[in-house]
Amino acid sequence: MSALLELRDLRKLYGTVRAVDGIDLAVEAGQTFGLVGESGSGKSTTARLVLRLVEPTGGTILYNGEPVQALRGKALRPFRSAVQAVFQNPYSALDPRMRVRTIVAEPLVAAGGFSVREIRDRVAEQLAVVGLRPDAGERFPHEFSGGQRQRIAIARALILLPKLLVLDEPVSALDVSIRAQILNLLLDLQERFGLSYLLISHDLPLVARMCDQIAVMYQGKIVETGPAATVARAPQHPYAQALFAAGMLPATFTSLAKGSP
Amino acid sequence: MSEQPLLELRNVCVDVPRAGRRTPIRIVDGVSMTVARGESIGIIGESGCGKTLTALSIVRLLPAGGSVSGGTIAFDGTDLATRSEEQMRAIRGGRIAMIFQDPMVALDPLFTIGDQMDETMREHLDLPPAELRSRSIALLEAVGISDPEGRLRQHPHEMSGGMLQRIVGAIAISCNAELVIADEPTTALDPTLQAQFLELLAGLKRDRGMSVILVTHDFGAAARLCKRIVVMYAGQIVERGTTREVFESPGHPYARALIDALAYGEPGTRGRLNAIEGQPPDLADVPPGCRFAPRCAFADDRCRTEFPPDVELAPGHVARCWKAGTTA
Repeated sequence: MSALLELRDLRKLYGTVRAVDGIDLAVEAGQTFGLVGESGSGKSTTARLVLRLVEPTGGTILYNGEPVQALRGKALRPFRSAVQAVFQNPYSALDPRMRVRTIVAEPLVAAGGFSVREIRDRVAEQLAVVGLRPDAGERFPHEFSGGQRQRIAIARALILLPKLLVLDEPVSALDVSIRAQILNLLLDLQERFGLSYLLISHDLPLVARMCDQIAVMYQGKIVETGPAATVARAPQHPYAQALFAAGMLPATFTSLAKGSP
Repeated sequence: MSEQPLLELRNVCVDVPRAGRRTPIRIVDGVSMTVARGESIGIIGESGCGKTLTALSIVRLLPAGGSVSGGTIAFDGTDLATRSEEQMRAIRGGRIAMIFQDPMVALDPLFTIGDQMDETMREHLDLPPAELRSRSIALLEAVGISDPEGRLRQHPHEMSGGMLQRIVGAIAISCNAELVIADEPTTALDPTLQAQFLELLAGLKRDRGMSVILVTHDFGAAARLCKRIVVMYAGQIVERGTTREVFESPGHPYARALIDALAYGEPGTRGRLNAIEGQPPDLADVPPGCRFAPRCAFADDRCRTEFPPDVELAPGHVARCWKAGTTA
């Protein structure tokens, strides 16, 4: 079976910096693929490449087996609808001057071809799907907490009924107690709509828990990849070992406090 | 440990005005804690719980309009409220140093690292100019920066976030601080750098006998550095104890929930996480009973209407809960 999204030898150069340096990965339908690494490892550039926000220097992006780089304008629209994103900061991602219903409707309006009534109904439906009250649409982003804003961002990402969500640090700006609510919502949505996720995060325990497959990026390259449980429990590459040793959460207080004075 | 704590907060309240309201809002409500010499203590909590304002009240750096409206803050036996603004300036950066999440809060992009270190030391120490340079080099070495002489000539934009945070650490200890207040110092750093920076703080505490207040939402960071912690919720301390006690046998359901939220469980399991539903109360309109009751799985009518007592579960391990110790 062919993957929903496949990257083959994907490269992006900024000047002489190899931000993404020949990576291969495949996201299967209904699965979550985790991309981990530190700042500057190239994981966010990969997200931008997948979202077609920047042009690759080389390599191939396949969606449902079809290359998408050559698509322009109208031909790109089905891909744009199918691949949506949720970013880290729910405070900067939502235009503070727009009502929530306008924010959530934006992708529909941009896609075109929907009646006012259809737009209204689908906005209401999406707000319900992400667990917001019906009157949320009439309010402005500043009236919501960080967790609720992230729900608004998810509602907007879902309104075109996408197949793949690129989640770039979707909960790292949120408080611990709110984080779990949003992650559970993402798990529910995945099950309900058969979504695939490309989850980008430096939160290793989170990625290990949420993902089917993990790839570890370092200096633009994937240095280790495999099933989440295998990579998290027994990383092989020295960089992956260092990353997981520093970041994996402990089971006991003693391991939590390891290295304490 | 000497008899008198280095820092003692007693019943501290902080009020901050809110637009559109005649009366200010009590963001910190009756916080008491002590920090002994050479001790590090963690203040744990989530956004808006009052942990940062508690820390800022100590050095009188509250946001505009904010004020300490009750309680006392004693540093080395002196009530800080009796200090003039000029005296507080001498204490800040001198005896009490601060490290914030974003190193660029403390650094000026226009000046070299060397200039900025010199300036801090000139303000707080009486050193001959020739000694400033050698002291700066020694400090950068102490925080693990290679080629310190070269770094002193560089500007902040020439360095990574992890390195800048180390430099802020070097500046913080440059004037022999007795207390370092570190507010989410590792939150902006990558995991491997987080561990390194906590190790650095632990080493400074050990070698120089400094006290540290670590303000964080990260239980792991607190466990690595702090023997004791206080957990704050909605402006109040809801649990205090050794980090081990709180982690292993939390007495307050909120502390328990925070710890459970850390446990993502086995890799690849993809099951639902333990979430705390709802969100913290608006501090302008707090519930009459326990402030956590609306989100608490164990709450009953008494919890919702009567303010809970501080229950001592073990000497020094206290939880503010009607059902303390019975809900784990």
